[in-house]
Amino acid sequence: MSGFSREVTVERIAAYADASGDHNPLHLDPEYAKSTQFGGVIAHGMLSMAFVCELMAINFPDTWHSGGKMKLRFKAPVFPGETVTVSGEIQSVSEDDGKKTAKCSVACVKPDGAEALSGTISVALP
Amino acid sequence: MHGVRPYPYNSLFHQTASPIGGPELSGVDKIDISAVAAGTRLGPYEFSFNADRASKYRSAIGGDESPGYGGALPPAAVVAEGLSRLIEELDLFGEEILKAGGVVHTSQEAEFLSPVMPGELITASARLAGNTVRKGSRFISVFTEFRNASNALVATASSSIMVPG
Repeated sequence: MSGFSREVTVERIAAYADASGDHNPLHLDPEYAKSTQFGGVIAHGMLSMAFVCELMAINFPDTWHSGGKMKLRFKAPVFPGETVTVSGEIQSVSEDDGKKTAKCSVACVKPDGAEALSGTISVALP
Repeated sequence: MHGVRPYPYNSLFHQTASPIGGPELSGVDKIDISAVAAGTRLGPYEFSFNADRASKYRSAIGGDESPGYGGALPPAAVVAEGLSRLIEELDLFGEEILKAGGVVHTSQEAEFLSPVMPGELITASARLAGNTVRKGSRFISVFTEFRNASNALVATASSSIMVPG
């Protein structure tokens, strides 16, 4: 699959909070975030999920909206200033009643190689 | 600590009949997540993304290679809004929970069944699917259905959240 990278800036996190309505201080309040297990502000897990959705919409523009199914696990926090690489791979293709479905593995990988998010997705093939 | 607030405490929530069964979380002055039983119905919440907010969402998640989505909302936007409403209803950003370290989103499932256009009215109906304590932390899971104005299912989601003990 054709992947991409996204820089996760403080500005992007704030814009995502406003657009999604998720104002968890863990993502927005440095003083509060410093007191948590993460030691500082982290990006929303749902932002990484949105990147993965973009990956699928780029690669499967005709079918992702109608039948895309995802199962994702948030594995490591993404900190402001980090650039994540969003990628996926088709693992198998099955056919049922003439309808083809691709099963894919997807991941958002941090600069240090750690997976911020990974999971599996199924999507219909046109 | 939050003071006792009337429920529902956000007048932006429009309460409508939920297609999801189970006891309602109603008449509650203050949410105590440890006392909310699995099976409890949450919501429903009605919302829409107008064109301006849809554009802001696309800009927040997007980059040079972002798709146009054929004019529809990025499907994750609908799930994100539903999750935000759930978190608010369950008061998961309440002072006691924040003092204990705050909530952590651990996993997310979603299925997208039909495109949602900017301005389209969506109703999210949810059910607390699980509420357990393991190793001192509480793990809750919530299943949500999203329906359009024609009552057609446009998406489903399952969110798992860890609440520190």
